[in-house]
Amino acid sequence: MSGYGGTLTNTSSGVVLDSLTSSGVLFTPTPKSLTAATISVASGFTNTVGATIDILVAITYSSAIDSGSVVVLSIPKWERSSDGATSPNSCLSSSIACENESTSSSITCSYSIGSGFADDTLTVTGLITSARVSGDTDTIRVKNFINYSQLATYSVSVFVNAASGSTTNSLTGVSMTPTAATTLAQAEVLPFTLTVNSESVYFISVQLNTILPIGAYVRITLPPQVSYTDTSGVDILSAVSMTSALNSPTVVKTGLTATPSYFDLTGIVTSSSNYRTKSQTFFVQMTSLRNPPSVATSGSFTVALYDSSNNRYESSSTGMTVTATAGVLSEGTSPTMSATSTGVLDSVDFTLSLQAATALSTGTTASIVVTFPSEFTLTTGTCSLSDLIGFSSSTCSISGQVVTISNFASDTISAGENFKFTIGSNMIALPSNTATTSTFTIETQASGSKVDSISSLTWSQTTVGTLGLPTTATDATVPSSSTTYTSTTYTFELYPPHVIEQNAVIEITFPTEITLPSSTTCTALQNIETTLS
Amino acid sequence: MTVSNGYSASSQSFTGSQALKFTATSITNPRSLQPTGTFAFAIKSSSGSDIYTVTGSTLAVTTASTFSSVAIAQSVGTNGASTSYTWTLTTNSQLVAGDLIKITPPSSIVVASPSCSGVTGLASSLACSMSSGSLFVTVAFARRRQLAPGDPGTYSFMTSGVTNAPSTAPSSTFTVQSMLSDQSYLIEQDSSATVSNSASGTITSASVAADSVALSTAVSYTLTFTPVNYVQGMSFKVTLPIQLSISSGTNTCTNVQGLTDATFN
Repeated sequence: MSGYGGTLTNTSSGVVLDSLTSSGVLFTPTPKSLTAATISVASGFTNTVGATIDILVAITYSSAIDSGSVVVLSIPKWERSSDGATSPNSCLSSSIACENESTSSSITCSYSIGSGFADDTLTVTGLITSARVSGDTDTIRVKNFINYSQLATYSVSVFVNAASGSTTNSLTGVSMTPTAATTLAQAEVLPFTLTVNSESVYFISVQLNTILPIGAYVRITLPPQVSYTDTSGVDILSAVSMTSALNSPTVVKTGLTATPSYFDLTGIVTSSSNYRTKSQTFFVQMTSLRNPPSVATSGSFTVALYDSSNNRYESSSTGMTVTATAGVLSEGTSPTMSATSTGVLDSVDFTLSLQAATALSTGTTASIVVTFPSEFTLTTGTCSLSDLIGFSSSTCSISGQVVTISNFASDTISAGENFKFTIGSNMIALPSNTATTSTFTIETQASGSKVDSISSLTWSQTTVGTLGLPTTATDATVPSSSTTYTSTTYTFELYPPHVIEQNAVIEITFPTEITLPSSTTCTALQNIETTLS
Repeated sequence: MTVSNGYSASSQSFTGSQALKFTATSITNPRSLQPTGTFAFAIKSSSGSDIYTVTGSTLAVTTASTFSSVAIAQSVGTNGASTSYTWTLTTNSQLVAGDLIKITPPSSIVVASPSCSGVTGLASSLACSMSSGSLFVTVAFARRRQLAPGDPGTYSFMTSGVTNAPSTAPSSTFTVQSMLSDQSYLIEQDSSATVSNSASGTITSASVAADSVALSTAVSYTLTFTPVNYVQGMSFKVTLPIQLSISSGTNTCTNVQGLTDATFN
């Protein structure tokens, strides 16, 4: 009420008794507190930090409310100065929309961004289209609200203003408290070298979905396949470095003995100059973590952000695996490969001599797997082993082209150590000809995954098989006429020791004294196809 | 020789005691009885790599082929005449420079200090010699073809220094052989050729002396003559002039000189 003037008059005489002329008497009624106001997360949404969600603002009026009144929410900034922010983002954006939750009808809401850390306001109109009385309740759905950046309580003020602009009901300290951690916008792990079981610099990049506030720390949890000390016992975590915007971390190692092991990087944000906000990135570089012991894809690294109250508010492990590459087996003491016989198709004991690139703890989970080229014929079954160097007892089995040596005693083949074994029991038949075979694949394996391998070895027989001749050797070549310089038919008789492969040919080199025609007719007699030519 | 398609449909297993057997036609045996070098057998993969190999044995054929024909022509057909022979051989085998042609004449024909020359298919000058009653001729070709073997065909050459048989009776057979240069192995042979003289020789001197010149008196005549040819069991045929007669049944030869024995028929 802006004020008013008046005249006091004697109604019987019409004489003015007294008069007052005033510029106005101000009357500003105190708004009544809302009976209740709450903010909750709409069904179907999770109260996750930084998430875009729908919230429900429920208000219970404590007095009569005129039709046409508006509801005004005073909303703190998305990030706080106490976190170190200097240019805070807002929970509100152009995507904001409102509905009357009870009718699901759209209602108008507009927002304005406060300067600096001043609250932003969201003004909801069209909700109170008829007068309300004390005790009435309205619920506003605010859509596309950007939830707060921390697992902390934020205070919102709610005002109900008449059309004239005066506040009828209000309530401050309406709390909003995100309860769920979010996922990092992006997190990747990259070892600089990938060879199994080798020490490598690891690089982790992180893109924030929320903020990295003052007092926050980073926890990196290692997959069990990646170890954190090198062979010399040097604690590599002392060599952790981070993005230059962050302070050099203090590495808290107490978690390294936990399962899974982890370490914390603390002290990295101590002032606004270290503060990082949404979509910004930071990096962690760790010196000489040890790659997984095999090529099996590791478990996941986890990068988690904790606030100063030890609330884990943001993390990621998706895709944060590493897959090492196998080491390269070398040829051992010469000869790398040998057989007890060298004739084609001879059944032999076969010896391999190799050198490990990567240490192999030859316990029950380790194995050496040799895949013979298809030119060899292997007999499936249990084979014997002998001539062992580098490890002692173990078992040998053949399945198809694959020889598996496993169940070692608790030996360890060290990196760079030669190992050798002979696959016995004459279960390997050499190739059927002297052509160089396709390649062997030889692997050391840990828990069925490759550790070292070599796929370049081939086998070339220098000795071919020996064709048998008839008991009387001259019967191998019998002319039908025994007269000099007579054109005649020769009969050839040979005794192959093993299989003759498909499309094989027979080559006869005649002594120079015998003259061959330009063409001849060959006729099959025994154990040769009649189509021969 | 490469034999293909023997295992085009599939591979085939062997145990070492199963024979692989086939024939091949039209292979020409070695040209001599000399054992050949060794055969080599290989079974190879389709890519040409050896699977099995073995070095086989040598091969020695046992029968020398026969010349298609052997013809002997005398320059002079007179008994006992010193003449030259032209030998014409039609071969079934190749001849190689250095091969030998060995001709063993029947004993009635003598070859001494022969000289030989090619007539057909051979060099004009041929080395030849006698050894143990056989004529050995070293095959040589005209220079332009020295390095190539002579194909089967007709070859002829002449040999001088041959003395005909002493009679016109067909000679015994000649043995004609071709053989390797070291005389160790035959190439071809023939033992059918003969030669027959066409004219008798001439008695170089003859005289008659009677022990009496009385008319119609039985006397003994001494016949003295010098023949060119001598043959065991040969006869002398004396034709008397018509004025002389021979008493039947009482004639004998006495006081024979130059002959071991003589009977009168």
